[in-house]
Amino acid sequence: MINTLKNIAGSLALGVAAIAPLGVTTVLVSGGMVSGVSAATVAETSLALDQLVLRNGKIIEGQLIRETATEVEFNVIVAGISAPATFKKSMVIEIIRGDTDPADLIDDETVEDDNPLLNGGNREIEVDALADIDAPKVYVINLKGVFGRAISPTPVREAVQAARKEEPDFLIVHLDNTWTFRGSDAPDELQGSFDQFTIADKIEPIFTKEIDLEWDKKPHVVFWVGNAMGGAAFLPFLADEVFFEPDGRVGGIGSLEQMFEGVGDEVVRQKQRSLRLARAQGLAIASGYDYRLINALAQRSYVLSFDPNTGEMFERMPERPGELLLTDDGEDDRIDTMDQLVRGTGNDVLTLKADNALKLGFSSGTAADLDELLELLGILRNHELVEGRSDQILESWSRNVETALRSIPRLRREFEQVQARGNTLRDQRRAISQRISILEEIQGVARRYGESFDPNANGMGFIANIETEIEELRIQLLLLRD
Amino acid sequence: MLRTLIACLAMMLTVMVASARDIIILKDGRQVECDIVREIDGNLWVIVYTGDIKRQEFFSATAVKEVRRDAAPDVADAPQGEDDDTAMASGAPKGMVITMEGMVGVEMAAHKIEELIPTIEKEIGEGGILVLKINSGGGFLAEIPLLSDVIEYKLKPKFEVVGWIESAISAAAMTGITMERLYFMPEGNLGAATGWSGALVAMRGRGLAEANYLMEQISARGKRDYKIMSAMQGSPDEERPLSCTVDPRTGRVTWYTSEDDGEMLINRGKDVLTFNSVVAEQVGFSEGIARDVFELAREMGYDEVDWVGEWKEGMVHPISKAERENRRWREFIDQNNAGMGVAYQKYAMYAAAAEGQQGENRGLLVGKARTFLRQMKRYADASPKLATVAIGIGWDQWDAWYAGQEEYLRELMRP
Repeated sequence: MINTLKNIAGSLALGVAAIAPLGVTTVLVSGGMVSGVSAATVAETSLALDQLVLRNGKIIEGQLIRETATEVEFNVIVAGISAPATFKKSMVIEIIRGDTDPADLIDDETVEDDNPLLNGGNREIEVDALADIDAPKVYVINLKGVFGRAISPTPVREAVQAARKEEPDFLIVHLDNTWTFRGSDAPDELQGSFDQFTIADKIEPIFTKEIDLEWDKKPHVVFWVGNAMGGAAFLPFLADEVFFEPDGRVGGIGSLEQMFEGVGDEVVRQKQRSLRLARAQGLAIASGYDYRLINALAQRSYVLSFDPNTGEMFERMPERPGELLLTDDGEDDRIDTMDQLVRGTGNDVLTLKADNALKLGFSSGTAADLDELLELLGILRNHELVEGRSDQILESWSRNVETALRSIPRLRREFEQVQARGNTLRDQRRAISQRISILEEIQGVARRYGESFDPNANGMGFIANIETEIEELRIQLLLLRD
Repeated sequence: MLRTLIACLAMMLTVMVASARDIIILKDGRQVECDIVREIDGNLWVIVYTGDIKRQEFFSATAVKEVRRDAAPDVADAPQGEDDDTAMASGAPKGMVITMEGMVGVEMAAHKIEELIPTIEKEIGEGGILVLKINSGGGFLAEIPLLSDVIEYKLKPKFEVVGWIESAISAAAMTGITMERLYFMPEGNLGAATGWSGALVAMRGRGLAEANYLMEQISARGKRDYKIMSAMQGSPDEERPLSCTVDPRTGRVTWYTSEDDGEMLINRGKDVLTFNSVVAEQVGFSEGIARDVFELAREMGYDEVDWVGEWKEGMVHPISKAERENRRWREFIDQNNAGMGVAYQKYAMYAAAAEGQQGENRGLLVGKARTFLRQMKRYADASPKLATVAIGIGWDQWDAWYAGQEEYLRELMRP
């Protein structure tokens, strides 16, 4: 199912913001320069517009301005109002040409002289005057805590389902996972967590396929990144658009080339790494991001540089003036020094931060608080913040997981303490039944919360072991006969 | 059988059949006599003939040097004229998606695909578009030639067969390349075809040589340079680098087994290759990227395809009758797989407990053990390879193992 901007957008602000994830240009929507554009204008003109088919499934309508080898400049037109934006060519599947002169798209009687469409500049479009358009609904989900434990597929799915009921136009996911080492915030160079991709892989469809295919009204999914470290680093790649907090970071997964070290043959280790890398790359590609960022985040030996003027990336060391190195191969004198590691400036593997993510076009902007984020999205003065049960669901899950982890040792102690009250067969049967009952209770806890304390196997190994114990007790019961 | 059939394929592409038809001259020098049934932007869909056998083929515009339309297509032989029920007869061709998922040799099995053919034919007709959508992390090497044979000799002659790759790893990749035309989902990947067992121990010796030979043959079926699959297989004994150069004028791709000779480095020597959707398309390994059947139809060059089946929420393709049967069977096998593991565990526990008992108690426990053993047999009868997957007994040793266990239980019951 492909959603056009018209379908997604309930307002100009929403529509314009929706183009930002891939655009170099950030378009702000905040004041009252264009007025009196009627909704009818859209209906009359939309059929003849050029269309930009993006790799992430969106179709943007407007007018093609210019096409180069690497970029497409496009006047995005929503509700009869345009805003110029630049798209990376790699993100564009197809350009479908319409047959309409852009000047025809504006109602002459209502357009003022300084209308940005006619002047063609990257001007701010102001929106306060569009009083007849409903304010877009904004819904915020806070993903906090330890990735894999507090941020786990079941509560995330339930939280997103709760958001669905509110039919938001913007689904903002504030991701700030706990990333600690010896009790304090862990440094960037802590890179041992590529294997947490298996958890991210289970969360992936919740923000992509399930929203794309099952929601009647698809929201614009925005990830706002504080800490996205370890397996959480894969999640921003699921977003339509990413923003960073000033000290936000994405990384901690640079351990792919060390996975399976010391086990079996090198060629089989490489196979295992290769298929994992390709799956992670696919996650980025499906949302319209450059898969080479995944390579740079995951592989110490991978070399990537880029030209900040064009956003173009190169799988080599910088060669031309102005090019910047993102990651080197970490070999010989290029290995990160202790000083670099302490200061968080190492480059053996990539850690995306607010500044480099913005230059790379991965981030659309940096926001210290929600108001700043809404302003960057162009909806600060024109939005409705709706609340649902999502945060409650996530907090409740975290609490319950902690309780469950405490309850299992307690239940184990109770199990050990079960004694037959007498020597009769009935007493012995009752004691065994009581033990079985406790084990089944432990199984129930594992079935509900196993994904959080055994993320890779959903607690299935633990559950199977308990099942064996139960069966042994059943054999004992079978043999207790008069 | 494979060798013979590969020879037939080569013959089909090189030998002129007697009757005068269209002639396609390919850039690699081959000439194909055929009937062109469809043409879009220079891409050709044709019917080629070998004796009484006919099959639909596709040649991309970049592969075609010249087309000689010396004779009008034999309308009587073309699919649209052959049968009123055929897909081509009613304007938009009919198409369906059959999913190939799970473990190769267990849920992704040649015999099941073959069983579905009559239903597929009933639904889309001869010449209809059959999309094999692959999502599998691999499985049994022994199943690959069986699956490849079914695709090559049972499906390709009847339908326009294309692959649609969500994830084709290892044995699934080795199967998928039987198809000349592959499309990827955006998240799609294909490769990592290294044979191994146990604690990441690489296949070596004769086994590796046989796998290499098999892949040479299947690469030829899919008209792919074996160097690509070789880089996906890797080797414990040598590095298998891969680079390529894409001719910007013709789109022709030349492959090199080195890192530097081609303009694009595809696989470092120390690595094992897995394609993502972007690179696969860049180097012409895939024909395009499609996230649903509508994008797929567009990538295939169709304005419209009549996709048969029922749409359900969350699906990127409709579910045809054949696909519904396919899914039901896969669920049955999944349940059997889980059931086999549990039954084996319980059988072992009750048999062990019986050894420690005497008299009536032993009889009771042996009876329970026998119940679980028979459950296992029912699962194995439904899918012989389950014995290997679920409990690690070679499927060719199952019968002997089962007979041995029955004898063991009888022995326990002897006074």
